[in-house]
Amino acid sequence: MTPDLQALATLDRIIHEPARLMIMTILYAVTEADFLYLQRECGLTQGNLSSHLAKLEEAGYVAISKTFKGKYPLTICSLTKNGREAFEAYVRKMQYVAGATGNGTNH
Amino acid sequence: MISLFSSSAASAAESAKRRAFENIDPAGLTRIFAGAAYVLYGLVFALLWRFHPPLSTPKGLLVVLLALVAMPYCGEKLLEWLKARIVYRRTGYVAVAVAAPAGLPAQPSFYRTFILMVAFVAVAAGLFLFLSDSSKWIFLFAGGQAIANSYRSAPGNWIKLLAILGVTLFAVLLNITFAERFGLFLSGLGTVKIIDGAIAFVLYLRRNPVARMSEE
Repeated sequence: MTPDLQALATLDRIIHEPARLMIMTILYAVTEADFLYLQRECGLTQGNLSSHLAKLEEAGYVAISKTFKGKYPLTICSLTKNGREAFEAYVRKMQYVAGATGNGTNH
Repeated sequence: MISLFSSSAASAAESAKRRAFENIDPAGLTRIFAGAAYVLYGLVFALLWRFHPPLSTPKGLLVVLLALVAMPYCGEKLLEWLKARIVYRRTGYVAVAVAAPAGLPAQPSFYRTFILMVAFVAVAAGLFLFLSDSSKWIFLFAGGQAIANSYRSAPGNWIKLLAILGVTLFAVLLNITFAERFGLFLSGLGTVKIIDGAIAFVLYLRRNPVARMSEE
């Protein structure tokens, strides 16, 4: 197996799933966001978003806290330090693979 | 193919940051609050100097400035309360870092905006104590600054830019005292902000019904 392909094999599967990649991408770009904001941005159902967030929380990538803004309850999500590092490592790995395969326009 | 995926992931992150940054004041509430504060400050100063000349002494000025600095604290709490009732139930809550993504102007915090406003008031009031009534250039400069700020935050909003220009020229060309000119200028700018924010608020309410959350 070539090193390029090995890089693909070691991709973080928790992040690699499309819905979770969306969540991680949004949370990487912001300081914190609530459940509703994530749902609107990702276009996921509430149940789907809940289950993906639970997996990310279980992996230690996302911190979830319940809080109140005024009297309105909010489920605030943010990337942990581990999550941020994992996301950056994931992007680096993808860029490495992309660089190793040329411009990638030949499908 | 992978390269395409990688670059689209990078642009998606940038896009997410941009959208979050633009979502700081989607309902125009901050603009309405800032506008109301401008109007209030303008009227207070014009009236104070018109009817209570002793307040234009340095001691009186200090008391007024302290009151103006204290106001943002109350305003920020009220704004957060309104956001919780109106914005977070419709489009959710998001917090972004202070640094703006490329191509977008930096968004000053609520408190910083008011501090800048108070600083402007202090400088203008200080000048009022030392300069004559003919110092119209102060308002031309301030109007130019307001137009530049507005252009940075909303380049396509020509009606707003023209309105600020109109307010500036109106305040400069009228034959009134400095205090009245100052009050008119601030109140005019505040009114423009309120109208701008109110339009954004109405559009926001029409486009974003309250979300139903059940499975969190």
